[in-house]
Amino acid sequence: MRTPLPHTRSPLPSLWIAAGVIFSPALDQPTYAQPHEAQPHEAQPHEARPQSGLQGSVVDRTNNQGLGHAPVIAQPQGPQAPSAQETSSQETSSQESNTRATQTYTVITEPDGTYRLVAPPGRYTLRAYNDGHREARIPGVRIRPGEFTSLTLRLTPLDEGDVHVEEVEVFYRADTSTRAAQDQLRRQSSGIGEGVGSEQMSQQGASDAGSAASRVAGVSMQGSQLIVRGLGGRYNRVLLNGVAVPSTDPDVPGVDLDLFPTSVIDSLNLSKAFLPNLPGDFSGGLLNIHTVTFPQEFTLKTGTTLGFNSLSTFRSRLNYEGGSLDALGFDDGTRAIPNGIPDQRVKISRHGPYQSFEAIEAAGELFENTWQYQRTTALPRMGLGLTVGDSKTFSGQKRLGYMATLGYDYNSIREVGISRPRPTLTEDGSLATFNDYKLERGIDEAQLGALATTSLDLGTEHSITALGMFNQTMSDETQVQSGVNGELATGEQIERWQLQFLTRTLAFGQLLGDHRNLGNTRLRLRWSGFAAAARRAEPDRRSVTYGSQGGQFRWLEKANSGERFFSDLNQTDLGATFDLRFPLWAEAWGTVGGRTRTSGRDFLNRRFRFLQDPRNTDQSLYQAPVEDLFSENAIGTLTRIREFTRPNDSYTSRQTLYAGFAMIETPITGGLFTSTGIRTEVFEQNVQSKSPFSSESVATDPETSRTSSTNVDVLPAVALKYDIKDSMVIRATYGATVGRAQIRELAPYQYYDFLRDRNVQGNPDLERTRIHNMDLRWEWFLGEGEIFAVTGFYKYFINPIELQILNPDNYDAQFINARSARNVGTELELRLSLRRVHDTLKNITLDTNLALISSKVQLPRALSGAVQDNRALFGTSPYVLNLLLRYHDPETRASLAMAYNVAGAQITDVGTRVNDTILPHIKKQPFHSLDLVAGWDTSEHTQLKLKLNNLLFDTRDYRQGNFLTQRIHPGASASISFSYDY
Amino acid sequence: MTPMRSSTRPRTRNLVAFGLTWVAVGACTSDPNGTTGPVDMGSCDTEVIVSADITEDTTWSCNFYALSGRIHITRNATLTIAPGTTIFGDTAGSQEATLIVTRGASLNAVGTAINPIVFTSGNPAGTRITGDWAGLALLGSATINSGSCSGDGDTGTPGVCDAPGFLEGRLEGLDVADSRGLFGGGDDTSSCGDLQYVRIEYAGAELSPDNELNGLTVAGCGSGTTLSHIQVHRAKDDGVEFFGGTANIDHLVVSGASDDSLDCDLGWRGQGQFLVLHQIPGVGDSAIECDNLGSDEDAEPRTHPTLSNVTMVGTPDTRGMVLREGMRGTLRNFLIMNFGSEPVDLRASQVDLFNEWPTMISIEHSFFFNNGAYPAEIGDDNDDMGFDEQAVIEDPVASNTIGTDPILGDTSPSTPNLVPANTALNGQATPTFADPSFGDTTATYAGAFEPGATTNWTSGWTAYPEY
Repeated sequence: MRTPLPHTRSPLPSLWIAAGVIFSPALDQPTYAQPHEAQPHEAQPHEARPQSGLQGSVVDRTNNQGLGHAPVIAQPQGPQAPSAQETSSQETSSQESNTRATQTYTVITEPDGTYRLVAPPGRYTLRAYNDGHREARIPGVRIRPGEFTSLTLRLTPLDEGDVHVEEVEVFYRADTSTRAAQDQLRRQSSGIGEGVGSEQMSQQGASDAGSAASRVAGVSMQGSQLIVRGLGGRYNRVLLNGVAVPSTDPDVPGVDLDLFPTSVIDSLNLSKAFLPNLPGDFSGGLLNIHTVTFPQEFTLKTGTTLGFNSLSTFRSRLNYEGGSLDALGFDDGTRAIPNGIPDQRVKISRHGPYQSFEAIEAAGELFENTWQYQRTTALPRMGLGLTVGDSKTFSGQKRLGYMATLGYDYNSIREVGISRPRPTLTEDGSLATFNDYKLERGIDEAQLGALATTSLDLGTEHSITALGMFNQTMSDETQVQSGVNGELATGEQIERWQLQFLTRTLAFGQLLGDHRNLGNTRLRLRWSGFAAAARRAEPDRRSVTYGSQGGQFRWLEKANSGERFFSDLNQTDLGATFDLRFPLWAEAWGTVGGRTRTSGRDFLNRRFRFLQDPRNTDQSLYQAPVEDLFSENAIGTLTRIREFTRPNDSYTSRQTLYAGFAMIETPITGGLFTSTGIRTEVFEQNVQSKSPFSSESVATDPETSRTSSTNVDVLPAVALKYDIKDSMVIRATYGATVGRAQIRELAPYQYYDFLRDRNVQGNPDLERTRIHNMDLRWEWFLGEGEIFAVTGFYKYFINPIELQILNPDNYDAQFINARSARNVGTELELRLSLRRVHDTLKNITLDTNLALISSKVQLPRALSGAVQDNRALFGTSPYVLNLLLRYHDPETRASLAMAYNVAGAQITDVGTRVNDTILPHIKKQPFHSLDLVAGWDTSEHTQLKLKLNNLLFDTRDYRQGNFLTQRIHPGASASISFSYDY
Repeated sequence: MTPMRSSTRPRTRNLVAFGLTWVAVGACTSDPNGTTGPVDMGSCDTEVIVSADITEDTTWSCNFYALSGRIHITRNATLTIAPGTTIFGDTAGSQEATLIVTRGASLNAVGTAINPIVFTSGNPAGTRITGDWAGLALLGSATINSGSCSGDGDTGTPGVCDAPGFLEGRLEGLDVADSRGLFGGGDDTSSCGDLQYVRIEYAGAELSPDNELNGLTVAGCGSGTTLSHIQVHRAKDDGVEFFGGTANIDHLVVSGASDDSLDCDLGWRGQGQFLVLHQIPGVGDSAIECDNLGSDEDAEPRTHPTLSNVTMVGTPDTRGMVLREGMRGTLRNFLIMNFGSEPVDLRASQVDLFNEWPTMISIEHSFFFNNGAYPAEIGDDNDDMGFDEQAVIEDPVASNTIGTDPILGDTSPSTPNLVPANTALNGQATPTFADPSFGDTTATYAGAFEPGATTNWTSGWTAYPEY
């Protein structure tokens, strides 16, 4: 039974809740404590004792209506936090002894205004806030062991007079890792988007940002790249705490989301509609990864994972002799260009260091004679993680904290499949097999990641955070294809293989500041500065082809056979941002902001190839094993090295962005709220192809070796939000955005795709894409963690960039601008507790979303070879379906989740017209992914998790028309994780 | 303007060349607006590095030029090269060295028997090997039988392109968007230039992976083109390849090509006389490979060269000629010897060779010696619907001679003398060409050399270095 208490008028001025951000009251210290039982992994200790806490509702004082989604905070009373003069070790001990007394607990009210807050016994000050109301504060609330104290909080609505009151905007560090908090953010946001908290990621068994994001409506993953509403690559952006992350792959636009393990993520936010304070170069989605901040008290967590795959583990798997540090993700120098190879072309010339056959022979002999693939037994997947964090209060309201996490993951993969690249177009328009290979891949993957963040809260209004991140990923792949090759005589066999070692390094540093109530004017200034260094190194990729020639099975002298390729990409980013938010009138706020970012990239390739030595005239000698052909004995008699580095193999580029925006957020009338504004982006980009050798002249034609552009885009956005009722919102948005060509797509550089056996070429003439985006969404927040939403969207693209097959004979492809495209679609999202069906199902949650996309592209008439049909935009899936069924028992804290994900076929290569027949598009086929995750808290400190992936044993297929060009079996995998919380 | 640099290479030239240098200096300075100039007096003492496209009429009259990468002659410009000039395919350039005469432009390279114009590897002599640089390509505006339809003439039917549109092709290995690689047009009497006494050595580097350039590519060049006294030595791909067009060729030596010595396709209708195709052991495919069009063997205009007085010397691993994909040809007075595989292989999958031979395609008045057997083309190897090459060639109607040793002076790669001693080679057909201004009708012998002659036309300007 509730005990009505006289409402208490807030002693503080009114509090504002701004769109998209939970502002909560000032506390003596920030808090991350979780009131939810569903947070066993959080810092809160689990204690075997009866539950206690508070329950009741938050209502409007004037009409007694419940106020949903309002934060309720229980702040402990009693012993004060340790004073600043105490030493840190004393702080620690006093902190620990007062754990229960200093802990703050928060909960967000149900849509009907009710709440239930679990907290240990003690004395608390209870506070509640809501949009448009003044704060309510009830000091001296007592919680008794094993009891739930009933309490109603009554909030006074704001009136005209309040506006003139000197208002103080105060906050605490809102916890955004929970589903409830994410829903709250979503409800209040004026934009269109979804969030995923770390709580949800854990429940779904997500291991990195990619797998976590893939459960969001309309999202699917292509490798580790994001696809939103069927749009991939350039149409999506990834931000880390609001700052663009450099891409570490020169060949593929976008950011690899597997760089971010869930251990470093507090939450993900995917914005699907443009607002002026967001980057203007996305259309599908903008994924902002918020990293973890420091915990309330000392935290130590360690975990380990062991994984198995049906096709890989303990099987004989391809690899080759590598270096001693491979398993850690680094090359120890084994694969480096040999020391004796100068920074000059390795080729005889009347100028330069190689003037004789002997000199060039010596150069060839400097290279490690490792070419042959081998087989070893694949090990299980192994993972280790360690997270540590703490925070301290000093000088009353100042608090300093840190969080550091270190992770290592190693995986040994074997994949089998078929590859039938470059089918021949026959007279009747059907495709006939040209190459028909069996394919096998052995891949070692290692990832080493570290993230450290430290924050200083200076009272309630100022905070400064520094973040440092380092990530090293390594992929060491041996791929063998064997079978029939169309270039050889009928029925002749070929065997081609490639040894590829690829590392990506990302170091990222960020300094963030947040200052509220500057000069007591309610101004809020947020700023950030960042520096990032990214590297992608591919040292010594080796490829070899053996096949029949002249009736002998022998090494073939051809491109990509006997080749050693070295590639190094370095990128440095620097940037700064600021946002200034200020009150305008009544409940209207204005924000102005600026962004600048400059990004320099240096891409250097060298290619060496062994050729036949023309002094040998006995072709039968090339039947020898590969390491007999490139040995010291053979080089100079049978074979010779020659450098094949191309003029446009290397480039330098610089991109500079200046952006400024102004935005106003204001209620209009009734429940109608708008965010409107304009953003201007100035984007300068230049790419300069160059020779890697300073001694050589640059490419002969400056027109094709250099591309430079400056675009100024004025991007308006309007977002309207209408609250039909507290739990139901309608939103409509319009935003103009751009899609920019990646450096890779602009650079007149050709790269070879081993898997598909073809070249892809950049195009310096590419235009940026301009996009008009419109969204209409209806959202119903059914209850805590429950949602039903329907969204319609329309996107019109001007000059979209596509990859088109230009040469039907060898499938060489190039990036081109289509004329226009439009995508129309709908998204349905339903998250529901099955208690609505029957009470016995109360622990089961259904979480499903479906996106349907109709896409159509218009091509320029003049484009030769264009297929004028009603096809979808490059890379767009017609549908994306996610289905998650989750069981969670709060008593035993055991959970079981089943996740299913599929995205419809999407064009990866646009076909071409060959006279009057059409070479069909290549489409990536749907992959039906079914995963199962079970978790169990085996004790207060330990947790066990079991994951099963790809239970349907589906294959990754590519088809051209009906012709299957590629099929890879990834196998099904299982992993078991154990973690321990101190 | 063409940026030019002087290297520090000292002048190494004989007196004859020294005399020419003065001419060259005069030419350079008298053309201050030309793309080679202004060149100061000392420039011709050292080699001239050419690193940009030639966009205006230009004369190269210095002793040494180095092609630094891929050089195009564009904008209908004419490049004139003085006799005795050496052009290095400069391997220091980051692009494989190439000289491409684009459609509408022209190359005027007329050497003499004493002072030929030499295109060669940029390596020091003695270290030159096949494929050191890419080669020389002439692109013209004569008709071809395949490609994309230019202008508005596209009918939607493959290979049919209504005027004023025309079919145009693209030089393999160039960037797909590079319009400088286009060839083909509507003018069969057009000219790509005048090449006489020109030697092209050690070419065949790849323009793009697996796309080697031929020593000499003649693509869509018209009958106004002159190709006379040309040697292509140790090319890594084909020696000479004709893609369509109507250009004629005489006095050709292809020595030591790694692929075919002479290749033609896309509707070449040229005439050729006095051709030497000399293979060396260990490398080489067919001495002649000639196609019409694989995807449509009836494509028009149809490949139909008229060739007379051809000497083909093979190796134990190679085949004499492959004639296929609907090509036609009038082949007379050949000497075909030392091919370990069969001397002649005809192939077709769409046209009926039984109807074509001998009215549309025939080899007559030719000598065959020391060649391999014709294989039984059965089962999968039946590439010509059962056509029997041996029967038609050895049919007395064709007046061919089988098994008579021509008694050549020397068939070695480095010191060849392919003049036959056996006068039995005399008394063959009178060379007949559609264009009466072309050819020597007195050469009524088999092969490129008059039997028993004491001098021959290859003397002086050809060379056969191994490296």
